[in-house]
Amino acid sequence: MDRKELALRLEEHLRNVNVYFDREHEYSKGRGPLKTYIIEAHAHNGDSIRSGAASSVLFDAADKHKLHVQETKDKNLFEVSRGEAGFFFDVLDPRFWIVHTMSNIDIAEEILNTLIEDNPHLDYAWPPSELMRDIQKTGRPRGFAVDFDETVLLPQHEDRFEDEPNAIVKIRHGGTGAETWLRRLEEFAPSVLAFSMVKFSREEKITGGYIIQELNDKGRLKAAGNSINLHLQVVSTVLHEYKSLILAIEESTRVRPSIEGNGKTLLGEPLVFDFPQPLRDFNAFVRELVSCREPLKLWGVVEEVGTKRVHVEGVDLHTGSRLRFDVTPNFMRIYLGPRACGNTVARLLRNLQAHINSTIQIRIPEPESVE
Amino acid sequence: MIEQPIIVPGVGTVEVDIICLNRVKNHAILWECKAGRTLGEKQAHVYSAIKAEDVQRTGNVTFPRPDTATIDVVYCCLSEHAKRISESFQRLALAPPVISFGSKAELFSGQIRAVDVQKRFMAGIDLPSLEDVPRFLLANTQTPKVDLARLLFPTLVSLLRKQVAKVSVRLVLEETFNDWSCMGTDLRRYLSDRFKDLILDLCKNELQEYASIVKASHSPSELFIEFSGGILGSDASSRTRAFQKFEKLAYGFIERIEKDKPYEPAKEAQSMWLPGFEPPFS
Repeated sequence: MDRKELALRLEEHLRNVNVYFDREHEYSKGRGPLKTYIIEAHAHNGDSIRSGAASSVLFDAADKHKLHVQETKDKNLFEVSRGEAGFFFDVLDPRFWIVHTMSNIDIAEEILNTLIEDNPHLDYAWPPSELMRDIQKTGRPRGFAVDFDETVLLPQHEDRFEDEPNAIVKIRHGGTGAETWLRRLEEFAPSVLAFSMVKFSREEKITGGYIIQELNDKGRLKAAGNSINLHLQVVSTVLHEYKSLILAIEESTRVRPSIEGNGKTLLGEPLVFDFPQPLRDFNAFVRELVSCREPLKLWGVVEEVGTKRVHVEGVDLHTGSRLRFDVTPNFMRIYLGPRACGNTVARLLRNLQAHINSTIQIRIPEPESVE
Repeated sequence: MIEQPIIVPGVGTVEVDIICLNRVKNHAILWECKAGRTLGEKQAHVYSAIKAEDVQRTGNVTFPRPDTATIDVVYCCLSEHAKRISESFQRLALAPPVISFGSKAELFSGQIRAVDVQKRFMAGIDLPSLEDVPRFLLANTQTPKVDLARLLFPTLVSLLRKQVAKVSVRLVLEETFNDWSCMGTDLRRYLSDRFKDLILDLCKNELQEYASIVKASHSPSELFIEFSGGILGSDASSRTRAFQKFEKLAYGFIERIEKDKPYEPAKEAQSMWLPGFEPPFS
C-alpha cells in the first residue's frame, strides 16, 4: 500500500458511512465515520524524535500492546491492527502523527487510549476552545457540543453549586441553527463555552466534493462525505494550527541556557494563565491541581508563600516533565524546563477551560533571542 | 555566570552574584546584589580593585578581545536601603554605581562605564512587584537544605515517571536547575554536595524500596541512582496510588529535613497537605 491506495480506501469508506455521527457507537466496522487522530510523540527519554526514527517508537509502543504493525511502500506509513480494529499511522511528521481508522469507535479508542496511557511519551492533541472554533469557521458551521463542569476541580461534597447558575453546562446541538443558539449563549454564559466538539462542512463546487467534519477536544476528526482530499486538507489545517501553537509555547517559554562561545544566557520566560474571575475556592483548586488524578494528572509539592499564594514543584505524570507553578486566585504562572513539552500546557489549558472558565487564555511572552 | 568567585591578588576574593558579558562591547558587568542595608567593607575594597584581567583569570570569563576588555562593578539593593548603602561607600571613599530596586530599577548614585546601560538606569526601568517577579534562580550558596529537598524530590519523581533506570547526580541537578550551566563552580559544588547528601538520605530512608545508590566504577565519588523496575504498577489506578504515596513521602521528607530529625518509618508526614490545604473532612 502507498498513500494513493490509502486515499482510495479512505474515500471509498467515506462514501459509504452514515453521517449521523452521534449514533456511531451502533455501527460496526465499515459503517461509522472515518476517524482521524493526532498523536503527539516523543522518544522514550522525552527528547524529540529524530527524522526517520518515529517508526521504531511506533514498533516499540505497539509491541507492548500486541498490536501488529505492517510496513507499506511508503516508509512513513504503517498499517496497525489488532482483532477487529485497524489503523493507518502516518508518521511523516515524527512528532505529530496522524492516525486514521475506519473501525468501530469504541474498539478503536480503547486501543488508542491504552497505547497512550501506557506510553508516557505519547499523547493526544489538546486544541484549546478558540482554536477549535477557528477551525470550525474555515467551513460552514453545523453544530457544536459544550462540556463545562466546574465540579470536577472542586470537592465532591461541595453543595454550593445548587445556587450557581452555570456550574455544569452540557449542550449538544447538531444542525445549521446552532450558530444562532451559540450567539445567545455567548451573551449570557460566555465563560462556560468550553467546546468539546465543533461540526462543520466544506464543499468544492467545481468537483462536487464535500466533507462533514467533527473536531473534538482531543484533536479527533470524524468525517463523512465524498472527498478524501477535502478531509486531508482539514487534517492538515488542524495539524498546522495545533503544531504552531505547541512550538510557539516551547520557543517562548522553555527556560533554558543558550551557550554561544563562552557566553551563556538564560532564555525563555514563564507563561501565564490569567483567570478572568478569581478562583472560587483557591485551596480546593490547589489540592486538585496536584492530586495525581485525571484530568490534570499533575504531581506536586506545595509550598505556601503568602496569603493565597503557593509555589508548586511539580511533575506532569503523563510525560514525566518537571514543571513548577506559582498559583494565586488570579493567575497561574508556569515554568517549563529546557525539554518540557508544550503539549502539557495545551492539556492543562484545555482542562482549565472545561472546568474553571472557558475564556482562560495563555499569555505567551515574545520569543527572546541572543543579540 | 551566577555566583562566581573572583580573586584579586593581594586584596582578597569576592563571590560575584551575576556576571553579564556583552561580547560585542567586550565589556562585563559584575553585579553585587545586597538583600540588606549593610556593606562588607572588605568586600567593597575587593570589588573596587577588580580588573578585567582578574575576571578573565579567575572568573572563567573569556572576553573576545582580552587586552581591551572593560568591566563595571554595580551594586543593587532595595530602594529603602539605597541611601544608607551609598553613604557607606562615601565613608570608604568609594563610589561604585548603586542601582535601587523599587517600583523602578534606577541609578541612585555613581556612574556606569557602559554608557547605554547608564542611560537606561538613569531613565529608570519599570519593575513588577517583587512577588510577581518570575523565579528563575532557585538557589544560591546560602539556600537551606530544606529548600533543596523541596526541589530534589519532584525531580526524582519525574525521572521515575520517565522510567529512567539509572541516573547520575549531575543529571538530577541539571533537571532541577534550569540555570545549572550558567552557575559558577562554587555554587555547583555547593548544590552538588547537598544533593548527594539528600539523595543518600532518601535512598536509605523514604525511597529505600524504590531507589538505591550505585558508585561509578571509574570514580567512586560519582554517584548514580538506580530505580527499581516496575514500581509504578501496571494499571492506571495503581500508578495514581503510587504517585499519591510519593507525595506523602515527599512532605514527610521535607518536614524531617526542616526539623533535622531522623527517619521514622512508621511516622510519615502527619498530613500530605500544608495547614489550610487539607481536604475537607480528612
